Amino acid sequence: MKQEFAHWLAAVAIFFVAACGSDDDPMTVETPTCQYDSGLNGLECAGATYTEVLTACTPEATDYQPRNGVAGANGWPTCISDDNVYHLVGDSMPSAAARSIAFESMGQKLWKNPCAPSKEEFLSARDDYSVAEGLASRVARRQDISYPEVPGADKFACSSEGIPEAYPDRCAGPAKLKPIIDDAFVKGIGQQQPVVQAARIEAALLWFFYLSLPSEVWTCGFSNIRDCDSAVGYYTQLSARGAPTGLARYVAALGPETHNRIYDGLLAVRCWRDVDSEMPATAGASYYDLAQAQLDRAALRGIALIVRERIGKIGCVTGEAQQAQIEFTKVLGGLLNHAASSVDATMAETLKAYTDAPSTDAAAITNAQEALDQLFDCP
Amino acid sequence: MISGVGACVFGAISFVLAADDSATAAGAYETVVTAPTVSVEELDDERATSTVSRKELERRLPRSTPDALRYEPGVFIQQSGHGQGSAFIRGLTGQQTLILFDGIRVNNSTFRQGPNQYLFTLDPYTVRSIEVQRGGGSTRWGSDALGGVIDARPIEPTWIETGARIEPRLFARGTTADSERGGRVQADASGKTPWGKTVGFVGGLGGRRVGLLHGPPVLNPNPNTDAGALPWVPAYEGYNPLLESYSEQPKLRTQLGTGFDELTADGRLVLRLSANEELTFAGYLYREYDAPRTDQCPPPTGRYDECLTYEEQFRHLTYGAWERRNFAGIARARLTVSWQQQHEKRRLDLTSGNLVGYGLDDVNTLGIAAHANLQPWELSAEASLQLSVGADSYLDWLGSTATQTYTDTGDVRRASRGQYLDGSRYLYGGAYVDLVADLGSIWRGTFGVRPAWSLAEASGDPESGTQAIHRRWFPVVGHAGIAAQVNPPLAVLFNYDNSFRAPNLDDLTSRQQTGPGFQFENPNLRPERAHTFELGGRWRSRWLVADLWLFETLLQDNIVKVVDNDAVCPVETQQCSSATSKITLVNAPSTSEIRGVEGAVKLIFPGRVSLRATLAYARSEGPRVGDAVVGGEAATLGSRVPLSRTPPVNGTAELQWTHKSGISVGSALQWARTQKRLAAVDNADGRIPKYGTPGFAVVHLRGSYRLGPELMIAVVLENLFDSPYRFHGSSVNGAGRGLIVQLQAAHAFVSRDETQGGEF
Repeated sequence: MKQEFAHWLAAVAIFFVAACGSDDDPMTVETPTCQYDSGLNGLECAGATYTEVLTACTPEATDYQPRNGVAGANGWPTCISDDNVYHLVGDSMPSAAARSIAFESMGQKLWKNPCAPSKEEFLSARDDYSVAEGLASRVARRQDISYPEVPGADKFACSSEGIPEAYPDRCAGPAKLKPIIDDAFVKGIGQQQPVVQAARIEAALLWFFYLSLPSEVWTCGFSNIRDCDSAVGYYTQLSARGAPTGLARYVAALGPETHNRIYDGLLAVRCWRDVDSEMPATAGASYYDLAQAQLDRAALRGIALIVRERIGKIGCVTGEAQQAQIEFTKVLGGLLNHAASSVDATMAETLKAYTDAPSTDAAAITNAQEALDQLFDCP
Repeated sequence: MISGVGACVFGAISFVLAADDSATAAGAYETVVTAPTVSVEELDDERATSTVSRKELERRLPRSTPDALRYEPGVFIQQSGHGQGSAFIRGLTGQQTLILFDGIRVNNSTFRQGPNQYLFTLDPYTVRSIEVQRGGGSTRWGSDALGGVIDARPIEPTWIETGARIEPRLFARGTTADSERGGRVQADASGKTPWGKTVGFVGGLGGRRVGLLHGPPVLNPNPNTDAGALPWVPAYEGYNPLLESYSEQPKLRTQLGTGFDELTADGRLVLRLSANEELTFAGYLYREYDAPRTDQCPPPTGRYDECLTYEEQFRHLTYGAWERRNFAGIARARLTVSWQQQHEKRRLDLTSGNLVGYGLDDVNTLGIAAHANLQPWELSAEASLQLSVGADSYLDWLGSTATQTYTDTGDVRRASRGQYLDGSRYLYGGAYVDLVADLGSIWRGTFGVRPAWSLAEASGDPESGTQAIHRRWFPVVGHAGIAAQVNPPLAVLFNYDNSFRAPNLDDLTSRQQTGPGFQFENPNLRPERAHTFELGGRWRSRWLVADLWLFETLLQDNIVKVVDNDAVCPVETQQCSSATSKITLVNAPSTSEIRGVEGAVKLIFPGRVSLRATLAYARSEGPRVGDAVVGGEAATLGSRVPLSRTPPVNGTAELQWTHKSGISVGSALQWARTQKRLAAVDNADGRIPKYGTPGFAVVHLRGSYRLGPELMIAVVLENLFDSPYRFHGSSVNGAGRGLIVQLQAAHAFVSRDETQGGEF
């Protein structure tokens, strides 16, 4: 009798444990009991810690520096951003901010999930991702403007049939990111290494958010002036400088000054479009170039800090959690390789060698982190 | 006294039809359809009306019922898809105009703000005539009739008084611009039943397959701007994004996101109980398949393979009508009981997310309507009163679901709600009194009033943050007018009309992707009202028939679509928060105005030559609500802005010659000026070129030949000069140069008994 009761108790316990990993909303479970632990919960290790010290860095002479409080300094004209606040071009929050919010929602279900994400959680995250006019629609058209434009007059040719395959670097969204995300969702829904798939989605979307900054600034100049607002929306959902969200939250947690420099860059963009509000922009081309350069330099460093941290974590975890960090590094590292090669070819090779095939070797990890530090030293 | 004059000024048929009848009398071999024993109800002739006759349909060969209205003054047809069409009347469309079929409301509580596709679901083969009343008509017809009323009248059996008659008829039709192939078989029969009553039947089966629409591309009015040469929509087959300029592109003619299939079936059985009494049972079935919405197929800036398609767009209308004349002090009475089902299945291919979404909506409508014209009351030798009374009520109940399927994993996700709330109900109707007073030979006064009701009920959906709806409205509306036969054949008319539209289930509950962005509900809307003032002049003589109307429509509490990106989206509705433009419906805080002029003139020359021309101009303005649009040169900024999609100045001309041998030839001109006055919401609408819709002038040639009573061939050479053109607000460009050919063949089998009328 006693034995039967014990079996019954065990069955009930198994039932509740199993239930945790399936349909429950992790947001509503206070103390999760995971069928499979993601291995990421409370992850801390020395290799991943970083304190930003930028004493050796000074802004470029032409950088827009609203925090200095000197309007019209460094060759910039007096403009709307001089009060160190981003003023919307349009009347309201851009939809880009909603996509950043969707990213956060996906994160709760996938990569911030203390449990390995269940099939239902992958499906729910995919609902967030695939909604009409949502993240998927923008990933499918996102361009990497650091590569040459697709030939022809159509500046949005990456949405056309056959173009992403022919111009994969420029059409990075449909050619590079979409396949990663789609594959990760299919495997995640199929419960093949769900923690790894979540990490791949996270990395690909961070890449997308990074690409969105210069891309939106680019289209702000000739297509829709409110795309400047979208750049801010993709970075930090239009929250204040001191309350970073989305991609900004990642960056600010690792490099507060880098975050501030990105924000400065966005204010520079707004300043450019304040000075030259024509459609298309004409007179302020030099300010456009300056703002884009300032923004991109800081944003690249922000991405480098994220990759640096993940490389460090590779050495701290094991199993699927480690594989997740490896896959994350491979995906987002791929973004940095192109930029790195224009800074220092040797260092770039070191970085590429590691991000193409991340290892758990401590020396390799340190070398890769040092390469990142040197390649993207100042925001 | 008035009756003699009234034959000219206040006759029961509109001036256009009157003019056509004079031409008919002169011509030979025109289709003869004897009038029903019981006179059908017609739209108010003291108002601004026009009629498209069956004969004109056979000559113009329209692609659809909306297309048949393109030559009516003050009517402007917009198409969001090749298989759709929405009539703007005096600048208003969709839920702000009312569609009737044989006096039965086609509008239901899901008719949305802006253009819709439902007029397209009336099969033109089943239409004997289409009357259009411009200006409000709520007193007689109830909610929605703010801009005007369209009443499509069905074909009737051809009657025979003794013996029996059956006439099979075949229609075959083809076009070159959109590769249409189709036709209809029809049976028209009448005869005496064994129990002595006369019975008539007309019905048919039809179908067509319509391919991709070809036509020269419309270019942006200013191709040197950032907008480039081509508007966002439509997309073209063969477009090469790698070419540097539009001039290098191959000949872009094939519009993607066009084409559809269609099946129809109908039957109309009329039983003549006596010389003055009829009983009618009728059913009309319309099925349209795979009709893409052109501006979403692909959507602007979207992937080339994304598409919104109406996989199924069905309408079933079944009704019974009893009609009787001259009894118990009643000149004419009609009672109808109807059931209608509108079925819609939408498929949204979102390949960017490896997703296919399905929306399924069914609207069932039960209707009852009674109308009676009392016998005229002769007050004196020179004065009389005629009273009409009636009541009607309709009940809609909705089914609505939404699902999405991931194409790579096969997982199906069911949304907690569809476009509408499943199980919603909407009851609407009213009672009315209409009075016509004839005073001497010159004056006629009209007056009418209608107390109405609209009740909306819908359960909430907490998961999607949709609140329950329990709303009631009891508006009272009316109209008054005076007409003076100043100096025959000239008449002057003045009317005031107060019409209304109660918020419907689309306004109160729907969530949907629209042209300008994602629209979500506003459960707190108030009814909108239209105050229409119109001054008209009519000239009717043997050689000249003309109408000219000046109008002003003041829209109070006008329900408008606004871009409000700060709006708080409903919970769990990422389509809303992710949308580039968030659209809400609001009651405009102050009056909106539409003012305009419209007219038509028909000159009838000796030798059976006629020339008809129309002109329409409307200028709209309303309070600015919602977000400003920055950087759009065409946007009219300021505290007052144009209403959405107001048509530009436009007009038509038709020249026609008919020979007694049966040959008829003619030409037609359609034109419109550039429309640059855009509402803020228009700037976010891919259907409208960024700096306005360019003007156009298009010429068509027509010819027809009736070979005896049994065969007719009609040909239209459309767009003779292959001009690029687009009706403002449309996704599709007009067809390029091409042929439309229609062949009719019929043979009447008549019993040996004496026949009266009704032969081909």
